[in-house]
Amino acid sequence: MAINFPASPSNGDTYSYSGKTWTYDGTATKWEPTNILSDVTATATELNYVDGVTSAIQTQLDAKGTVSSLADLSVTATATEINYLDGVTSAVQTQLDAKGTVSSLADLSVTATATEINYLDGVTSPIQAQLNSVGGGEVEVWAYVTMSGSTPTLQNDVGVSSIADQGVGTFRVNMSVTRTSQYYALSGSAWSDEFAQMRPEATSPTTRFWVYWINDAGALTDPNFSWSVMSAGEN
Amino acid sequence: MEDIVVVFELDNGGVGLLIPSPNCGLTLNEIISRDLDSGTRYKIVNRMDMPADRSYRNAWQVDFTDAEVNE
Repeated sequence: MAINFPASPSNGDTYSYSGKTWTYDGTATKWEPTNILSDVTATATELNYVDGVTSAIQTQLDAKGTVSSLADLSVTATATEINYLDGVTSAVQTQLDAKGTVSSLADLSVTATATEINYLDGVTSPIQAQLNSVGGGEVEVWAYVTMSGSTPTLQNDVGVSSIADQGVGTFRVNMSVTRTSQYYALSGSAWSDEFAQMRPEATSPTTRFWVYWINDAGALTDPNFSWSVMSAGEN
Repeated sequence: MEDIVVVFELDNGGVGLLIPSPNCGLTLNEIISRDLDSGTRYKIVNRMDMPADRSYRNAWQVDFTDAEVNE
């Protein structure tokens, strides 16, 4: 729509049309709009935010699309899963790699096979304790004792909780299992002609028995020796 | 437990040595409790601290004045 400014205006003349006002600049011989920014409330700083814009801002925003969910970003993980990364301070893969590779039992210095380990499936308490509590069979109690120096050494023991050295030639075997039988076998060796005898303890015949080393004269003796004892099973 | 010996007082005043089994599944305290008679005085010592010689074994003596007592 053309604006019909007055012909031959003088410098400073004003002209209003459709709510807008122009002032005539006689030096430049042109009409200049008056109060062109009167309806603008943005500050110069705010207006300068558009500095560098090369095309319509709304068009550019629309081209960005809508992001209101992780799916809009083609992310299939849930927020909970993503939050598992909370606290991560460096590359996850690098940290995982630094943990070393565990791809086999050998990597854990385990020599047993998976099949052997699976034999433990279903175990509900310490196996040794269960074994010790099992009755029957022929060898539930086994102890191998050697005398080296002044103090006996207990080895390869099964079903035995301790050996009590009571003095020269006298030992009490304390069992960790309770046997209904009081029959035991004994074998041993000494450097000379001593021999061993064994005898269930009178007051605890199923949990304790005594071993005596006796010489030819029938006296207790204390040779260097080793011996083993075993239960004879239920009789 | 292999390095431990429990020295205990015998009824005749002598010294007994309790050698605990490391394989029985019991703790040292459990072994002491079940294998020493009630009221027996004892001390837990290191095997290395035992005499090297077993000569005169029945003459060994231990001061049990400040020893533990098996309940």
